[in-house]
Amino acid sequence: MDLVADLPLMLTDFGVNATLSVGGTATGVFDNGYVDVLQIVGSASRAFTGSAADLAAVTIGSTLTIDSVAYTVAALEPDGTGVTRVILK
Amino acid sequence: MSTRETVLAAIAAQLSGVAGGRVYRSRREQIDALPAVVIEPVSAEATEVVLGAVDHELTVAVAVLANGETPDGAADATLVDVHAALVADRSLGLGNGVTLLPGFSTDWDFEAFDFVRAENRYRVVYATTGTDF
Repeated sequence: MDLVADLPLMLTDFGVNATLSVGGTATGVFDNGYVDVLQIVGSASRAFTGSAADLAAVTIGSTLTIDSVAYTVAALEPDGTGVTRVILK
Repeated sequence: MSTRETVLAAIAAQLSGVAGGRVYRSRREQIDALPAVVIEPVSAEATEVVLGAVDHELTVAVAVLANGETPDGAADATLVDVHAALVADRSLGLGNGVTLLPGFSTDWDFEAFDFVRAENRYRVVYATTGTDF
């Protein structure tokens, strides 16, 4: 299985579009799950996973807008296979 | 009820006007709005016995939970309010037998980029007799 080659197919099925404040758009899988913070505070754990090439210009502190909500990039996690996970807050 | 419990309840009462009233004791249920204050006993020690009287020192954590771009900064105003409310009456409304000591320590625990638990630890001294603690 070639992950990079298959990535567009996966994103077609499961991806959403994000507008990048650094310019352009990207398609990726948006995870927006619940997480406990400080043990007793409810919050969200958000990440956007997409093609490293599409997300190459994204920087810490820039924003991704998904469904009209702007999220700030807190961390970038390239996995070395052509996929980057963008941690959002 | 023990004097220890009375002291903890008095601290909660003295802080009732802080953080929009979101002041909790030993909270374990989810908190849905910040900032909030959580009061927790940390340790208690009976240090001396003189003529049947026992001197106690109770360490209490008063934690401010907050979130913001600079989390410790976001907690600061509430932490100031907490401290001001407590030192306004070091007897905690319980009279001369109870004293909140001037010294305190502060710790910060950061999590999930924007959240902090900023905790002041205070020591309260009081004396009891008989079986009370």
